[in-house]
Formats: sequence, C-alpha cells, structure tokens
Amino acid sequence: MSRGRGGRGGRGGAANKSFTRDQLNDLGVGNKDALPSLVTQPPSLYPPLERKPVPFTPSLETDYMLILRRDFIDHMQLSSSYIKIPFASKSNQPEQEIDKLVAQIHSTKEKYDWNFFPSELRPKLLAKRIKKGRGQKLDVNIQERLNVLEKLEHLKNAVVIKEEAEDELEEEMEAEENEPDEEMDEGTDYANNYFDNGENYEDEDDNLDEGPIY
Amino acid sequence: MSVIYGKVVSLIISERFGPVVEKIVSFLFKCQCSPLLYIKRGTELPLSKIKESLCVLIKYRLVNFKPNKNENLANYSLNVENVLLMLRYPYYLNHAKKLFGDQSEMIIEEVLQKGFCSASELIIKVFDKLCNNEERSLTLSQVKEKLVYLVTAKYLTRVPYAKEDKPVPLLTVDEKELTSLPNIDIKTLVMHRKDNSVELPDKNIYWTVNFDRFHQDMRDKIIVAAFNKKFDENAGEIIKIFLRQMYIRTDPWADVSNPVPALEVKDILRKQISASHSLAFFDQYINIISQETSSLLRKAGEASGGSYQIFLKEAFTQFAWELVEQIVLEKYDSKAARIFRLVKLKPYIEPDQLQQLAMIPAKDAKKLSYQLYEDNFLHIQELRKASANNGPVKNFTLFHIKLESVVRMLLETCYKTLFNTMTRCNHEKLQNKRIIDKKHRIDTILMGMKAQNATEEQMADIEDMITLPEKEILENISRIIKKFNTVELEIDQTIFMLQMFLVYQKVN
Repeated sequence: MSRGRGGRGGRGGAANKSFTRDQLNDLGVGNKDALPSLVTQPPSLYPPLERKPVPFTPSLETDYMLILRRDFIDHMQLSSSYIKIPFASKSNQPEQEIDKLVAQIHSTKEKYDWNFFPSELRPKLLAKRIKKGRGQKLDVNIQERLNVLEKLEHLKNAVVIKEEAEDELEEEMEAEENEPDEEMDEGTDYANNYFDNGENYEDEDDNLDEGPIY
Repeated sequence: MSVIYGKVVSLIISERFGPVVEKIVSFLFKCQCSPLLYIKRGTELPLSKIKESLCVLIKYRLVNFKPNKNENLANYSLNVENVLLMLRYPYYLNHAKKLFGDQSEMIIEEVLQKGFCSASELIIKVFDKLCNNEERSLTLSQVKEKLVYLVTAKYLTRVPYAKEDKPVPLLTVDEKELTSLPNIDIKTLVMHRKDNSVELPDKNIYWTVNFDRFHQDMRDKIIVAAFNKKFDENAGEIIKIFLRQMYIRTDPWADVSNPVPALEVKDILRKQISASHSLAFFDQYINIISQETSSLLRKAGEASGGSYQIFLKEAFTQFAWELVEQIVLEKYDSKAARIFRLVKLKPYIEPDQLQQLAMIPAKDAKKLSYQLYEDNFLHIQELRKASANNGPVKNFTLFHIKLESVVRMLLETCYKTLFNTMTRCNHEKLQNKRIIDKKHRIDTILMGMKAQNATEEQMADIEDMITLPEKEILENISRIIKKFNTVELEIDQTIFMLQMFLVYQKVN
C-alpha cells in the first residue's frame, strides 16, 4: 500500500490512504475540484449490485459433480463422524430420540486404530480399566463400612472411636453419593466416558502446567 | 488467514461434521495450536465429545498433532488447507471417473469417505458395493488391479505411521513406502469375506488420497484447455504430450522443465491414429505455439530437430493476469479493463499519460482509475527526485500493479463469496425447514411402503400429502440450492487457479 509520505504530522500511516495536495495534483485532481468529505460511516452491509453476473452454463459435468457433492455430504451427515450436541433439550419429540439412538448405534461401531492417535484421546480402554479398579474398591468399602457400623453399635459411648467412625462415615457417604449415579448410567457409553474424564482431569491438569502457555 | 477464511472453514465443517466439531475447529482456527484441556476450556464442551471430535478430525487429516513438552500430551493444530479441499472432493471423483472409470472412482470415494483405509478392506468394500449396484461379472482381482494402478500412479499414498510406541505417536513414512503396496492375496480376501475371523495381512497399512497428484492433473488440464481455446484441439493435444514427456525428466512442480525433444512428441503422435492432421502440420503448430505471447513453450536447442522447454511458472503468471483482467472487466466494465491492461502493458505509468493513452475522456479515466485504486487493483508508487539546492521538489506519482497482492486480495474476495453463498444457502434451508422436513418424511414413508409392496393407489395417496403450492415451493428451493452449490464448485476452480499462481511464486 502506498502512503502519503509528504504528509504533515500524523499523516502517512499505511492505513491512511489520503493523499497530499502534491500527489493529488499529480493524479489530476486540480485545485478547483472539491474534495469529497470524509466518510465516517461503515460501508453498507448490502451494497447495490452494479452489474449482474453472467449465468453459469449448465453442463452434465457440473450436474454430476453436484450429485457427488450431495452424496458425500449425506454420507458424512449419516456417518458417525457427524457429532451432535450432547445434551439436547428435553422438549425433543420422541422421533428425534430415535434419531439419537440410531446415531449411538453407529458410534459404537466406530473403531480407530489407536496407533495413529495420541493416547490421551482413547476413551473406552481407559474407561474399562478405571471401572475395574473402582469395582474392587467398592467391595472393600462395603466391608469396611459394615465394620464401622458394627463398631458404632457396640461402642456408642466411646467418643474417640465415634469421631473416627463419623469421619469415615462421611467419606463413605460421599462414595455413596457417587455410586448410584454410576450404576444408573452404566448402560450408555457416554456416561462411562464422562466419568473417566472426570478422573483424569486433575492428572492432565497437572501436566498442563508444564506445557507451553499461550 | 483472515476472519472470513475462518468463517468459511467453520461453515464447511459444520455442514459435514455437525455443530460440535465445528466449535472445536473454530477454536483451533483462532489459537492455531492447542493441547486438549485448553480446547476444553475454550469450547466448554464435555471432554468425551472433544476427544471424539478430535479423533474424527485426525481421521480425515484435518487436524495434526505434535507431542507437547510433556510427551504424554499432544498439541493439536488445524490443517486449514485440507478443510478447504473438501470443496474439491466432487472434482477429484469426477476426474478419477473420467480418467480411470467407475471402479477407480469408487475406490477414491471410499477413501475420501473414510479418511484412510487399508488396501484389503478397500478392495472388499468396493467389490461389495459394485456387486450390489450391478450384477456384472466382476472379480476381486479386477478391483485390486485398479487399486494397484492408483497407488503406483500416486493418486493414493501411504498414511504416515508410528514407528515407536509412544503416548503421542510420531507419524512418519519413508519415501519408498509411499507407493509400495503390500502383497494382497486374493484368497485371503475371499476367505475374509466368508469368515470375518480370518485376519487381513495388511491390517495396519493405510492409504489415503494424494491431493497433490490430483492438483497436478488439474494444472495440466488448465494448460491444455488454454491451448485448446487459443488455437485448436490439435495444439492442445501436442501440449498434452509435451507435459506427459516432461514428467520423465523433471520434477512435476518445477518452474521450468528440462528440454523435451520435439521428435519424441512427434513419435508419440505418429502412433495415434486420430492425429494425422496435427502430424502433417506438426512443425507449424510447434512454431505457432512457441511464438505465442504466454511463452509457455520455448526452444531450448536445435539439436535433433529442436528441443523445447515448458515454462510452467510463466504460464500460470499469464493465467493469473488473464483472470484478473477478466474480473476487472466483469466488475467495472470494458473501459476500466482497458485502463487496467494499459497499466499492465506500461508498468509505472503517470496518470496524465494514462488518460491520454486510454482514449477515454479524461474525467472518466480519472474516475475509473481512482476506483480501481480504491479497490486495490491498482497501486501507486511515488517517486521523489532528489531535490536540487533551491529548485522546487519534483514528485512523480505512478500507477502500477502488484500482481501478487492483487491475487491475494482476489483470493480473499473468493472466500468472502463462498461465505456469502453458503450462508445464504443455509438461510434458505432454514426458512423452508418445515416443508423440506415434510418432504423428507414423506419420502421415507414412500420408501418404506415400496419395500412392503404397497399398491400404487396407496402410494399416490401419500404423495398427495404434498400440496401443489408446496411442490412449487420445493422446486424453487431446490433450484436455488443447486445454484448456490454450483457457485461453490465454480469458485473453487477460481481459487485453485489463484492458488496455483501463488504456489509457483513461493517456490523461489
């Protein structure tokens, strides 16, 4: 972009396209010609079309390519790659629910060769592993809890133990709060993923701190 | 990369992959390169959806990843060019069909739809599809042959793979492996079709479409078409053979080819039955072509009947000029085009001189040249004469054209046009969503009825559910949408031409 170099102070930025008198003279704008006033408004959103474009010449080839285009997009929209918004509003009609189910069936079929992807993107494997781990924990928890309850019954008077037990109970209660959720959602893939992610979140966050900051 | 470019990318993605992926892509477009949790923070989507979308994007080669400092994590970046190439998919398919037939087209289609695919799977899939479509006697080995040809001709290429087992795989591929197809045993394929438990030998070797090879073909096609238009079919044919012979000696994307002997071309022509005319006037044709202004073909030496060099870079510079001129003509009419051509002809021209030479009334000439300047088609160069001691300082203000910046500006305009047409198209669809949905539903019902062998009367009843005025509206919409989609395809061709020019500028 050329700039008005001879301009008086402040003039001559690349964005400033106005000319000096000299340049205007060179370009053929005489002294007498009234200069248009400054435009301070943004250009109109829909400027008038000065000339109509030439229409396309229809050909079999473009028609065929249009069909190909349509086919490809249809395929993509039906395929598992077309990811829909996770939490659709509750006012959905049952018809669309069916659509969602269909989409889910597709996505379960989707298989990736994980050698080609960063391991942090693997959802199901991790989910399974974590699920197993949790299952064991749960058994222990139940036994422990029974013990605690027993103790509670037997040693109501012992304050120290009671306090301990309460602490433990609180922990247990927390665990309890989480448990039913998991069981409820076990049926769907999505819920598993979600849990796994919650678990990983902190680990990954730690790592992130070492990463570059943008 | 501009805002409008990002918007076009978003629109393309949301049409093909849905709103979730679109959100991630537009975030990646903004921040170029980002690890997983930053994406989560920026998009506020559940992590599982982000992972799923990233997998999809990586699958279609729209996102690249690199290990972070912490090697367990990856940084994701958007491959913007590949997103835009999705508009060109129909063109690739059509090209494959014309050159190698339906089977090859289906192979390419399958790969484009899947992102990447192993050879055995590909053969089986395409074979099954073809069997469903037509009951022809087709064998697996025929499909395999086509695939082998596509790989050796570099239309398909090997997907880079991980050599070491790392959390974030480093994907590489040797140049040799790019075109070496593993042995595919037809027997195993047959067995696999009957019994899924039989393992395919090349399970982990994937192939994908090599866009560059298609672009090379498109480039050649443009050149041949230019000569067809300028001279005749025979001249185009001669240039085609020159280009083909060029590949034997030269890297396909070189600016200038090594000399190609004319005798060689003549020999090839002699083998073609239909080329008797161009053979008879071969010397004349060569003469005319080499004297032509675009100077695509120039004589390199006299030995053995003369050898010629192909100047590809110059050809595309020429094409870019023509294109820009045409755009000026369509946008501002012929007088402005004359001024533009004049500035091109006499680089650095004074406004006064311009007004005289253009043979247009001075006032009009001024107005038009200002308009061209305002829209960035013309540029101004100021020349200051070193001031003598006390004489007045003499300034010259000269018009000239910076082709590269004009081309870049036009590319932006193309993206803007794309954005406008796509937005408008979506708007039309949204406006008439109810009717379009109804049509879809009725179509589905009809399909279902057909499958259940319903009587024609019943079918007609259902069909009548779309009233006449509704039908009219539907026809109208489909016509409008077709128009918009055609614009998309055509604009992409212009973009290709402009990009080609920039590619050749970049080489140096």
